[in-house]
Amino acid sequence: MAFNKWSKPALDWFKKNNWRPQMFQLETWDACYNGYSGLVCAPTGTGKTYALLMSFLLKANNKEEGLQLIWITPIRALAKEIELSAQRAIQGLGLSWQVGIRTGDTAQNIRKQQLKNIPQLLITTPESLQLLITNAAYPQIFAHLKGVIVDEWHELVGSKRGVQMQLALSLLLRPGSKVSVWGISATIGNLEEAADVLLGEYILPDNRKLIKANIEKKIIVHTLIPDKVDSYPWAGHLGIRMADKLIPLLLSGQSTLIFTNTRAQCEIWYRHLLELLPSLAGELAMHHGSMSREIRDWVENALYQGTLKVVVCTSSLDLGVDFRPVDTIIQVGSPKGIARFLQRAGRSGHQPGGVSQIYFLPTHALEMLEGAALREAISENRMEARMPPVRCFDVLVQYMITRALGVGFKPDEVFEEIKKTFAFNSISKEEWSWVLAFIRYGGNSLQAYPEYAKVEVRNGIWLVTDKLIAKRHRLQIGTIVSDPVMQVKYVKGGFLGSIEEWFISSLKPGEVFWFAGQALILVRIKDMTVQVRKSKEQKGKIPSWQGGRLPLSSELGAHLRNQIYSLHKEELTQAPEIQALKPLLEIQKKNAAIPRENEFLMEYFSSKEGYHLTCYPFEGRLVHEAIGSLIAWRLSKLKPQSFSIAMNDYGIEWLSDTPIEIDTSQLKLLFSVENLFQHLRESLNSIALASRRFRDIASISGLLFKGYPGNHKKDKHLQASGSLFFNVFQNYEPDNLLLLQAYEEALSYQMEENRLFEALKRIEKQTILWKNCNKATPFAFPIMVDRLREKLSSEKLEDRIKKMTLLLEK
Amino acid sequence: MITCDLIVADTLLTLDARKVIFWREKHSLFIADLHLGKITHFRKSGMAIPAAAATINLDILESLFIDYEPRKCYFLGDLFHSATNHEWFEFQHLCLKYSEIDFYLIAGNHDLQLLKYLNNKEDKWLKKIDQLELYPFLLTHEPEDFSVAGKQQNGNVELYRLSGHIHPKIKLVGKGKQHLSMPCFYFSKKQGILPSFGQFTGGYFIKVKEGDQIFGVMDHCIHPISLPK
Repeated sequence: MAFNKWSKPALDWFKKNNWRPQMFQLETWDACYNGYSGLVCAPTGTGKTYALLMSFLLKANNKEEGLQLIWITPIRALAKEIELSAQRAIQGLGLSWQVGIRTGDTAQNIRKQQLKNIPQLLITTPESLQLLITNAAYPQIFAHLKGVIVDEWHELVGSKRGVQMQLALSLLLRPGSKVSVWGISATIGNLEEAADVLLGEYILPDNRKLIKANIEKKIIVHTLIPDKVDSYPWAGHLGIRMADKLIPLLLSGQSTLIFTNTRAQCEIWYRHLLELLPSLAGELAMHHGSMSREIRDWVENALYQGTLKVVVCTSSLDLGVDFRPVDTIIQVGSPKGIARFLQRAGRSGHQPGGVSQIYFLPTHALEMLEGAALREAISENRMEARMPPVRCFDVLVQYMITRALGVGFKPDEVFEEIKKTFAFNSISKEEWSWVLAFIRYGGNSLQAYPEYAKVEVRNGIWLVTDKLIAKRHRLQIGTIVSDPVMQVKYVKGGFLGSIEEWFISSLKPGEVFWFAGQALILVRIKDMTVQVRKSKEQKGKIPSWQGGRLPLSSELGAHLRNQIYSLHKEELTQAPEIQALKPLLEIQKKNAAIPRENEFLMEYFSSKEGYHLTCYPFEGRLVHEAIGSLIAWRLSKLKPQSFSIAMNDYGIEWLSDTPIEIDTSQLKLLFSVENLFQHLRESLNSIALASRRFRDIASISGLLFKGYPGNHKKDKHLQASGSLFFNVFQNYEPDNLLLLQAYEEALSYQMEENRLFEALKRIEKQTILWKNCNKATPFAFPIMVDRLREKLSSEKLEDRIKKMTLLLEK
Repeated sequence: MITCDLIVADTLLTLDARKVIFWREKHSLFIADLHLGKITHFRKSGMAIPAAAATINLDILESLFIDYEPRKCYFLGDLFHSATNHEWFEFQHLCLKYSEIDFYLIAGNHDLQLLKYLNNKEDKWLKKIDQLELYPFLLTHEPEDFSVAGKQQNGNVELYRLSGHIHPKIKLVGKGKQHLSMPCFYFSKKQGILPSFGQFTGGYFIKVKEGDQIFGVMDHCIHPISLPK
């Protein structure tokens, strides 16, 4: 297979560069040459780009005109690197293909040029590809297309961007097309499913290949262990206390990335390190998603050049170009998932045969267990699955308008296309009619609404003819919805980044806050811009950003439970983390118990605050939030009582002002899956949860208009908040599919219903180990101090209002 | 409670959870910020709000005419949201049906511009004025602190001002990260501000001072809000 004649030019070129083609590259060349589509699973930095690119180039004979190959990258920053690799290969094979980049950063004149003289290879993003479909010339543009390559498919498959990609593919792979599709993915738990999502029904099973690179990258996990576990805090989330442990690592390494979980934590760590190691000034930087593109580019470039010694960052550096000089990775606090931890570990050790070293810095004592759990998970090669969203009508509505913008569409044809996608495979005729009525009449078609005219129908072709509507739609294409933010700029100019509105509104002019590693004085707020000056002040507020707190993944949770169960087996407790935790575990054992595999621990104790009940499913915050409300509701059915519920990724605590009395025989019933969803609906404020989801849905489906860039005031009369829309739909169109989607998303994302169900089923099989304790145990303590406290209330609105206080606006 | 009586400027006013004030003694109804045509305007721009929401404003309005049988009805500005559309004609149709009521529009800037589009003959039934002294009240569109300097002269400082324009809202916080926000009636020593009547309108979180009285509106009820000490 490997030494076919056609692959000779590639082999020669590899040889000239002193590279050896890897098995998976040869396999991919072969499959692709023979017209297959598929998915290639290979870690970053292993030559996956050439695995796919080469296949298409080998088929080229230099006479091709027009667009041949589309390379989709979810990250704009990667486009340049791919362009360079592609140009090198094209030259190496003696071809004269043109390569073009078309992303949100591409200048208008270059875009125009591209349309006139389209390159053979176009590197673009899912959003820019959609924009291309709004062009009336798209049928000609795509006429000669041979292949679509979707890079980093694991990043897309679990999101609405992935749905958007599927819809674009359903158009490019219409019946009769000869386009083949390839995805590139990192290792994820559901690789086969990811391939199904990408290839839909437009690629038949016989024409697919799943190719896995057999490359093991060595990863070593070190947990940084506090000198005295007894005095290390039982709870907390910053980990600053252990910062001095990092000093030798930071000084000896060539270049270090410190990953934090939130942007606020990133700001705090940056400041702290600067104080701790003033000698690093100039070689220490920070990087997070709210800092301006310009500053981030500068940091990335400096990392690439090797001029920075330490960068404190967030998930903003999870992806992107490889920084070869980076040799040390530090993860502060729980990485929440195995794949994410590995991804971060993989940011170091890029030299061939290099070993990735990652140091895990726990932010509280019990978190040390995660170090051991991660090591176990990595050795067993367990990875989280990325659940593909389905039936996202918001994305479909957006796509239909996109299609109506170009040359227009015929509904029957499009229906056949989209039914072949994974996301809309189950769409019914009725739902489809609803979508059509929604874009044509702005609602149920039974009523005629003369004023609504987004899409017109001419000779059976659905078209958008209104130029303003078209313009607004083009601006809004995309599925990433951001929070309302304000831009932070120096008075004299210079853009620093953006901060959420609510944080800024808590500041007065003259107040100092820290942002992007600078102390800044708020001068004034003008037209959604926060004007600031540098300050010499050492103290200042640190902004926090809402959202983005990921729950612990269910795989990591399972490994954590394993660690706890294994504490009973002498021979397995050799892990350094567990050795270090011994004093704490002794206290846990003495005050309550350490559960075995068939046991589910519940602790009950009283304090000045009231009566506490705790349990530890290790299923992550969201599932715990749902279980918390569910059990509180079920308890209050047995005896009227109100609870305050707290949770973290490990467990749940119920607090009541009166004793919690429950018969041991009833304990099991509390966790029963019987009537689960009915009880959930009654116990949780599902309306509030759905309303939260609806904001994104309204934005994606074009109900919300965020305004033209840099032109905030003029279009005020077309702006309304997501919650206003939600209320109106709730009252006047309760069967609106977008509204129903919000409820469904609340169930599947906000409560992670499948995971919840599995967790309860597992608990049902266990024996409940009830322990009356004197005081909070090491397991319970971190939950009690956790700030996310939800109250389950069955009180009337009037009584609630009486107990609340007016928030004074400053 | 659905209504709530309140003494303002030695006068008894009834606050109604439909976000209006009724002055029983003078059989007068005060309504602020109806924003007629907003929903249709959104829909015309291709944003699919349920069209049925446009008629609810008028349904509520009619229920008020029936319940209170007012003789006078004062719209405190921002009656229109944007260029006229069929919502206006339906509104006119409703008002003409209740010919025993005198309708006044305390016009905001916005209204005046839009009124030009209307056929003058047809809208004689609606009297348009800048501001109105109605002892002990002064009716204006904009509240005192928010009015554009020099634009409105307050003829009589003794009068208690009633207005709309800002769509007042409040935010309540409670234990366990609870929070609620709702539109409200706001009364200070010098002036009162009505919540926006329109169903599809946002709001502005007001600053509350000592001595102010706040009445939140939520779930078809009026909720007197006690101020923190």
